[in-house]
Amino acid sequence: MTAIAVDTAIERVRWEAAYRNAFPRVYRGLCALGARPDEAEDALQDAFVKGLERRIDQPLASVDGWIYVVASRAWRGRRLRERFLTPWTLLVDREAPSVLDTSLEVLAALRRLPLRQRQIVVARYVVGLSQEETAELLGIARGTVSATTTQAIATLRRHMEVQK
Amino acid sequence: MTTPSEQWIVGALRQATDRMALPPESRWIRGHHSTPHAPTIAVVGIIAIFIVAVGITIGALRVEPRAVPAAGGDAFVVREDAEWTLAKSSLPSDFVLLRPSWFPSEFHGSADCPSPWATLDVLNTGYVVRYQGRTLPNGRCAWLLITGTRATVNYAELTDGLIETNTVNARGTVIHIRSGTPRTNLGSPPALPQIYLWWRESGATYEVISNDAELVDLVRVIGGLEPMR
Repeated sequence: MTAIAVDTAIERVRWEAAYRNAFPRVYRGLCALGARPDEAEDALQDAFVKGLERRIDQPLASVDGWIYVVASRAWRGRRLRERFLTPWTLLVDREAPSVLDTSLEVLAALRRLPLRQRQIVVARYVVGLSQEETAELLGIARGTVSATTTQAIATLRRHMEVQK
Repeated sequence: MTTPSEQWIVGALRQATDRMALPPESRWIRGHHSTPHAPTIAVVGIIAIFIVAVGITIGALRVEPRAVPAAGGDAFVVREDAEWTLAKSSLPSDFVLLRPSWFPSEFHGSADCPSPWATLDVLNTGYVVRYQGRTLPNGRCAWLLITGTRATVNYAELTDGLIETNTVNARGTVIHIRSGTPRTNLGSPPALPQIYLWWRESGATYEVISNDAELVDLVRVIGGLEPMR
């Protein structure tokens, strides 16, 4: 397949449509990882521009996954330390009805996981990637994704039981 | 994820993230976001109508030679066959690729601008075949793109800088005409004006776009598109 730089109108149109479709899931995924809303926006913008610049001779297996991985790298690159995580109470709409406490608890518990576990859990259950996509995009084995997910969910459950 | 308690954790996580407020859509993509004012739209519309009228008039009078891709056995024809075959073989068999039976001869390629090129689109759900011609004053190649995709594209939401100015009827359907000068990435040289035609057919969206062709020629290309077998 012949390569063409992503600098033409049609490629921009396609990319913009895909990016807009992915934005809600990836934005929320970044916030769940620990990014502030402004950081998540900056990181997504970085991913959008990188997408325009990439060559399309190798089509993406998962646009959402690619944006998630590139944006999370951009966010991490801007961070000096992880302790500057946003308070999770600022992320969830406190006016929304029902299960407020559970929402806060699960986000708080997520923040207590190691970064790698957080990345995988968010990729699987917030961004919506399959085990195969997660493994390919993060450069790890599928079995590692499966084992890490199980371990992370079990840890989340323990954290939430302690909080009750 | 097998136990009810684990499913409950995942459900709680999804519920929590679904309730995170999103930024306004106007901030999802930054850059040159100025919304065209009504007078600007009106001026562009008038210019587009003028281009249509002049283009159709000139097109009717022109007698310069045109290329029929399947008419010869030269390197261009061989390459064109190979590129279209490659595109078709890369997509599902029930995807209808529309290949031109006619297009302007100026897009046969040149030393610096080989023609044509085929590729899958970024979503891997369609094709883009790019015919190229002369080198333009800005140093880039003149091009004419023929595309088809099953991806959903909401043209009303695009912020590529082009404006839908008119429609024409062809192939038994409505062809939408977008035109203008596209936005470019920061630091990139300014782009040239484009004419961008799109329509829906056979469960897909098709487009013919160029930065150096006249509207009348693009409409003629569309009229000559044939399902590839």
